[in-house]
Amino acid sequence: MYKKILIANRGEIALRIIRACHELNLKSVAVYSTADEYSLHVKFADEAVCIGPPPSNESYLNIPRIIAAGEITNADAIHPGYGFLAENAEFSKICKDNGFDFIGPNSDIINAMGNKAQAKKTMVDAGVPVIPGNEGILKDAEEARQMAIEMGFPVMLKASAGGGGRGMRLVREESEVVHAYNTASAESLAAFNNGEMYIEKFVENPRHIEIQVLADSFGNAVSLGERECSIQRRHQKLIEESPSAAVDDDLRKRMGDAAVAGAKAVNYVGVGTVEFLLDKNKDFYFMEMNTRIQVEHPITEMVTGVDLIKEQIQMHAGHKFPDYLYNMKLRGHSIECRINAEDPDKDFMPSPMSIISYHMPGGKGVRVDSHAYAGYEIPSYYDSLIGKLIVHSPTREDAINLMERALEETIIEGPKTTIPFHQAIMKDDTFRSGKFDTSFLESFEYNKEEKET
Amino acid sequence: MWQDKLKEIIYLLENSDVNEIDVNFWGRRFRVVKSPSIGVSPGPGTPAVTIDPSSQSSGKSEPVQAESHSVETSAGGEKILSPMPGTFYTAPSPDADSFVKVGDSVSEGDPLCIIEAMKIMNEIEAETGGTIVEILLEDGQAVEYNQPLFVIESS
Repeated sequence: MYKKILIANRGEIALRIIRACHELNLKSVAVYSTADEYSLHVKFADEAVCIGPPPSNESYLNIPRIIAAGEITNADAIHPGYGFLAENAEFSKICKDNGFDFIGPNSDIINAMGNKAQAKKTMVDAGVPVIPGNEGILKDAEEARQMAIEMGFPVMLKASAGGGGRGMRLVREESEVVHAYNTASAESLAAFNNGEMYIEKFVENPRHIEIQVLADSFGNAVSLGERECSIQRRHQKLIEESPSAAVDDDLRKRMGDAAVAGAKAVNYVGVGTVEFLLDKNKDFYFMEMNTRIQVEHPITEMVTGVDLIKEQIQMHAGHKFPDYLYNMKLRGHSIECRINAEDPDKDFMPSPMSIISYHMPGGKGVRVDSHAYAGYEIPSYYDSLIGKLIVHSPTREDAINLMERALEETIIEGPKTTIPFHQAIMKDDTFRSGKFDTSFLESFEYNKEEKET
Repeated sequence: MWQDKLKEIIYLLENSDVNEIDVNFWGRRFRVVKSPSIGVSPGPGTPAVTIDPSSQSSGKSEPVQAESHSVETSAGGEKILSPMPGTFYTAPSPDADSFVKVGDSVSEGDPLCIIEAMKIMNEIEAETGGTIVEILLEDGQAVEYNQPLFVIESS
C-alpha cells in the first residue's frame, strides 16, 4: 500500500481524497496555488506545497511543478482527482516515468477512451450497444452526406478529438450536411489539432444514464449501479440521482453487464464510468467512458455503501475488491445537488465572493462534501463549485422531501448560490414524477417571484 | 476588507505601548510587530515602544508600517522569491563553488542558485543588481513557490 499520496487537485475533491488517505492511514500532500493559500485542502493535508501563482496553467495544470512537489515530499503516488490533469495521458505517463504511481489508468487507456471514434469501435468489438453511425473516421463531407441519407435524419456530426460540445453539429436536413461537416472539422482542428469526424444517429431527448464500474488489476470488474444525470444545463450536470426512475432491475443488469464488458475490453483498472444514452424505447447506447472519479460519485457511495476513493486507491495498490460487490443491490435512493457560487437570476453568472456566514444541514441521511467555511474567499480563477449536498432515503419521494428540508437549512451568505434554483426543481411536478430527459432544463421555468427567501 | 482591518491594527500599534499583536480572523492570521531595529523613526533613541501621545496627530512613524506585515526583513533588503517548487542548490554542481556568498555584488542576469525539478536544473537569475545580504536556505533544501531565497540590497 502507498505511504504518501500527492493530490494534484484542489477544492472539494482534494479534501475528499485527503479524507480517504487519512482513513487508509497514509500521508497526504496537498499542492496549491497562492490563490488557495487558505483553502481547506491545504489545512487538512499532512503536508502542503505551494506550486505557483493563481492561473491554472502555472499551477494545477502545470506538470513540472506538480512533479517537483512530489519529488520534494517523496510521495509515492499521485491522485489527479477530476478535471485538470485527470484524463491527461501525458501526465499519467510522466508520473510513471518519474517514479510515481498514477491513481488512474495508464496513458494507453486514457488515449483509447479519449479518441471518441476509437472508443466506439472498441465498444462495438466488445458487444456493447453503440449509437448507429459510421465505423471509424469519415473520409470526407460527401461520405457524411451519403451515410446521413442512409441512416435517416436527424444526425449528429462529431469530432473524434472533440469534447465539451465543440466540433459537434446537429443536422436535420440533407442540404446542411456538407457545410456542417466542414465547419465542425475546422473547429476541431483549431481546438484539438485534429479535424477527423464521425457521424451518428441523433437520439432525440435521451436520458443520460451512466454506470459506475470498479475494476481490479487482476481482470475483475463489477458494476456499482447507475446514476441518472439528465438534469443538465449546457452539458453541465446540476442534479444527479441513483438509482434512475427510468431503470428497472432488468435494464440495470443489461447496462451493468455492457459497461463491465467495455471496461474489461480495455483492461481497465480502478474506477471508471461508462456513459449511455437511453432513448424513449429504453434502448441504451454507449456514449463515452470517463477514466477518472466523477463529481457525482457520492450518490453511488450512499446507495452501495462503497467508499469509491478508498477502493480506487486500493485497486491501484494491487488489492482485489470484495466478492459481495458482485451481487450488490442498490439500497434506497440518493440525490445530489451541486452548489455553485453562481447567480441563477443572472444567467448563472459566477459570484466569487467571500463567504460571510456558512451553515450546512445535518441529520439522518444528509451528507455535505465541501471545502468551504465561514470567512472563505472563493477564488475567481477556478470553477464555481463550492460544495455538494447529498441525501439518502429509502424511497425517491422521501429523498426529494429530504433534499427540500436540507436545502432550506443550508445558509451561505456572501456569494450568490444555486440553492434557490435547486429548491425550485425539487418542487417541480415533472422532476418529482421522475419522467424527464436531458431537455428538462431547457423548458424549465425558473421564476424569481416563486423562489423562497 | 481585511486590508482595512490590517490598517486598523497598525494604527493601534503605532498609537499605544503595545509592541506586538497576533490576530486571527476571517481564517487569516496576522502578526504585526513594531521592529526596534529600524532606527528610521525620528524621536528618542530608545526602541520605539512608547509613542509620545502629543505626537499622535503628526502622522509620522509611517516607516513602521512597512515592516509591520507578517514577515520582517532587515532594513533596505529585498527578498528574492522562488519562482517554482523544487530543490535548492547553491552551486552549479556538487563539486563547484557556490554561485554567490553573503557580501557578493551581483548584476542583473547573474545566476544566484539552481532550483531542480524533474532532473532539470533551472538557473535562477538576479532581476536587479545589488549585494547579497542573506542566503535563506541550505544547499539541498526543498523549496516551494514564493518561498524567500535571498535578501538582496539593491544598489
